[in-house]
Amino acid sequence: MEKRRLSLIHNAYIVFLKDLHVEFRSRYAVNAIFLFAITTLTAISFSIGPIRLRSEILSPLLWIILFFSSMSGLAHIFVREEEQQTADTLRLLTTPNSIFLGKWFFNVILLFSLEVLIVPVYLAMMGVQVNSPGSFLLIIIIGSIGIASVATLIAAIISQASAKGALLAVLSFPISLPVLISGIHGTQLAMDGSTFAETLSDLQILFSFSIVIITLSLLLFEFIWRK
Amino acid sequence: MTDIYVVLIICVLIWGGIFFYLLHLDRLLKKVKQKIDFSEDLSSKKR
Amino acid sequence: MILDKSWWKYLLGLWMLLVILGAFLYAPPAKGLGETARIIFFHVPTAWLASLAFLISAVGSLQYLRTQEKKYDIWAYSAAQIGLIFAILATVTGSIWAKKIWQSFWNWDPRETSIFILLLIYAAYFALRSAIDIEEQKAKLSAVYSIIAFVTVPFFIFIIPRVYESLHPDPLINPEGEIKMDTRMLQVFINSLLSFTLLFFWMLRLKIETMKIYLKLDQSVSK
Repeated sequence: MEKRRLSLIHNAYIVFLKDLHVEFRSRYAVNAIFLFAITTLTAISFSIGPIRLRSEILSPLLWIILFFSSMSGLAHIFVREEEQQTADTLRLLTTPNSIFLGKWFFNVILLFSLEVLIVPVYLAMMGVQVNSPGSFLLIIIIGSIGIASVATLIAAIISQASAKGALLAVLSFPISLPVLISGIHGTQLAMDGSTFAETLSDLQILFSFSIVIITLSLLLFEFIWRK
Repeated sequence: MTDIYVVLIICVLIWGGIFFYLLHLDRLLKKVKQKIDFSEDLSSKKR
Repeated sequence: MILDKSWWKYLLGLWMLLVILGAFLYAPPAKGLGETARIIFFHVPTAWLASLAFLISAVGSLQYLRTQEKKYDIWAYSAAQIGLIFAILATVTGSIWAKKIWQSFWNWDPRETSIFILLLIYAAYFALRSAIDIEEQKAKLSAVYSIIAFVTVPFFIFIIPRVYESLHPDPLINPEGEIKMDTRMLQVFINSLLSFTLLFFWMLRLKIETMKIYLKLDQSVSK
């Protein structure tokens, strides 16, 4: 039993490393996600100009950038396999759940690396004052895991369909709404300055949602992946 | 005051339309099903 | 689903007619909201049935994944279609009512938001189905999506109140402002709820039977 569990994580890690290497070669997803985020941020900052916005507006804007950047970049991990026809080989190599975990981890790391750049730039460009940095960070981190989890799962589904680009956003949006609503609400509180207790309910929702989605993915992924 | 009667009549008409359309579909389906069953019987008897 | 008899359909026709008449002539206008509140007899049943349809579709999806039998995919797809119709009706009637009593067509209050999310999920479901060509894939992937969407529903029960919490509480949850409805209103309301449910199942049955016939025809052509 221990051996089987270890090999799941082990295989997932190998899938992750493989994807990392392929990504370094082409940099497709990284480009997509970073460029989209920077473009959107620039457009927003430019259009708003010198006006200082309230947290009720700054919070949703940040999440819109993060969500739609994810939509641009996080599907690549599955779509690439289908387009380059490496998917069937991958199917033969290891168990579905290892594949899912590896790719999930890749997407989480991808989104985190985007945020390491974009969130500070956003705070700087929009002149945001974050009064509870701890809560702010926590909400962004757990919320991003939620978005990445949903995006990975839906990307797996649409990789076998056509018209993939638009479909990812359309399918992911309703499922991601709990993350968006709680995330937006929580970051708004964190910007205004709040105790940990106040953001706790949002954090609880974000955390439990991520757990539920990941569990659901592990249960359902085999159905999606098997031809 | 008479407005409510106008709305009422419109609603009744809408419902009438929907209801009879559904009945029509129902009868159509029954006919098609009978035809299919009949031709299935025929083809199974041929063998 | 064994009721091939016709009598209940005619009964439904009459029943719904009585409900409509009752809604306008028998039930008194609501206190404080007046005549416009009559729309509640049509708005609430359609909204409730739209959600029920989603549940039915999700159950059908689950059964399809477990058994791989085509009839469950038909079940899931048909329920989603009828559910979409009812969801659109609910949204439109709700919006009309909102315009009358709150002077704006859309407010993002909890009820409006949840029916809108339901619409989004249905739209996504059909978008997914139309993007896949292979029948088994179509059925399998849309079934998976249906289940995922259904699992997020409990979260919305906690989330939705947040969407509007900064403004006044949603009066729609308790349109009368009281928990009790006037008895005549209640009578018409219950009857409306039941007759609409019967209507829903009739429509669902028609749709499922139609899809089954398509399936049979496809199978006999391919032989």
